[in-house]
Amino acid sequence: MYKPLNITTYLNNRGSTYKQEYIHGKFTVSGSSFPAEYIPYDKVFVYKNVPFQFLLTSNGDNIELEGQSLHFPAIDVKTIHFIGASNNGDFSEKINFCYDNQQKYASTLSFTDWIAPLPRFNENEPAIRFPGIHTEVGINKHMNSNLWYQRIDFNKKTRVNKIELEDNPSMHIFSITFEY
Amino acid sequence: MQNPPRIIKDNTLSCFQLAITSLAEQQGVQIDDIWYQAGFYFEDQGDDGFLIDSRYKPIEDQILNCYFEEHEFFDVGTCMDQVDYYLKQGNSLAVTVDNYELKHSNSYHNQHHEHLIEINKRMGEKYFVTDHFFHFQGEMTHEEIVSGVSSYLEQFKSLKINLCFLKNNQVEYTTHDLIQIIQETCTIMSGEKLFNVSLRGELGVNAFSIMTNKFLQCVNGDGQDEDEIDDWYNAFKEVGNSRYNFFRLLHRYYPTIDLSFITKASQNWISLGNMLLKAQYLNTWKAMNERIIKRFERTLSQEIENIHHLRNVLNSLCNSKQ
Repeated sequence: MYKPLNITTYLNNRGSTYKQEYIHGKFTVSGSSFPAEYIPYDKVFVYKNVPFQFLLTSNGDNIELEGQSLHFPAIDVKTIHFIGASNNGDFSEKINFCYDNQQKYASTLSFTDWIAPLPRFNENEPAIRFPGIHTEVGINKHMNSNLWYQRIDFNKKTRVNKIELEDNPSMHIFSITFEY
Repeated sequence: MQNPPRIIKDNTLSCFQLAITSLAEQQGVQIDDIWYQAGFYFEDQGDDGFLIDSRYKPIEDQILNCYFEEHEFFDVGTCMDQVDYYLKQGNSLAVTVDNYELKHSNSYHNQHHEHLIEINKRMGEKYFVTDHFFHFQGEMTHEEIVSGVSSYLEQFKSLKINLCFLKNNQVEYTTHDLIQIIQETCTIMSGEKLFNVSLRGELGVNAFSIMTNKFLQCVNGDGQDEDEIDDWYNAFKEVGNSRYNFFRLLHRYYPTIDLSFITKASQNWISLGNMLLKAQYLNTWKAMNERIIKRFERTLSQEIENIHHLRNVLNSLCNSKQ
């Protein structure tokens, strides 16, 4: 059983843009972004049988890691699935899963650079491949990009109601789904 | 040019390193063998800024199956004549251009940046070009190349052409060579000199306190100097990449040894640089200041810790050799 986590209130970065508004991209500090046309915002996206939800709001479409905590109703999970990417480098950071403010499980979240052709980390697989990127000066079709998938398996079903993220603004989470 | 070179899509190498790597790769040199130097040198240059360098010896002194030539020019005509001359001899080469004039770059007619592209062949009025940094391979007109070269000269004062040639004596890294490379890194990072030369700055951990003072002056100041922030960003990125390339060399020869502490160091430096860039571009210094300093401290702690880890690796390699 799967349950996508609604991360609407935590979105803080605009990582994708449509062709006509590429200038608004903020995935990289220089204003580059994923082409939004290839992200299914209007329906459930399924990768490896795992349903993911992508959200596009006025606050953005992804969580840029800045040491925040994500709070949600308690759930007994066995695996958590992530889709995301890093910009300007490949990064791994510690990620804590808590229940009632007590750490229940700790792991590492790793995302390869968005324009790398292959995953830098064994944990990553390309979930969505994009034929180009949007930059502050237009569309660059020479540089392909990727949103990467990672799963974190717990040793046993674990009750969690909070995820603690590290402070690394070069890492971005676009979607999270619980498997319970 | 027999076949076009592969486009090297690798974010741990600068545009300069990518072009040079490609030239070397065409001579049969392994990418991992070139950029392994992961030392640390810091020199406070007062009002003129600072110098950070992770290299501790000329690349020519490394064990490599090739050697590099660099030629400097002060006018576009001579530079382009030499480009054509080397291409006619069948050599691929790298030449300095300004991103501002490159249609395939992310800065076209927007920002001036120092850049290096590889030219593989001339075909009449067109050149076959590989720009690894922007994942571009294809034709550019003579006029486009001249625009990029001219703009570079105008912005950055002199032009350079880089070439790479194969050495006659083929060599491979031995365990002894690799132990020596790790030893050199440990020595430098512990703050000791490898060679008997006088230095104005400090090495390894000995450099951290003066660098911290200089860095904090910059990020805690009222108005951050854009050029200085760019310098810090470029320096941190270069140091971060050097750690990754050091890891890459060791990992190729010792895939079963846990070397994740080196990639952690690499990521810390690069993340630190990215934070600086973010604060600068978005003008969010107040919001980012504390976060930047925290990452800076974490970066230096990891470097100090790594000397210990590296010594352990060294001991185990020396023991297994015996």
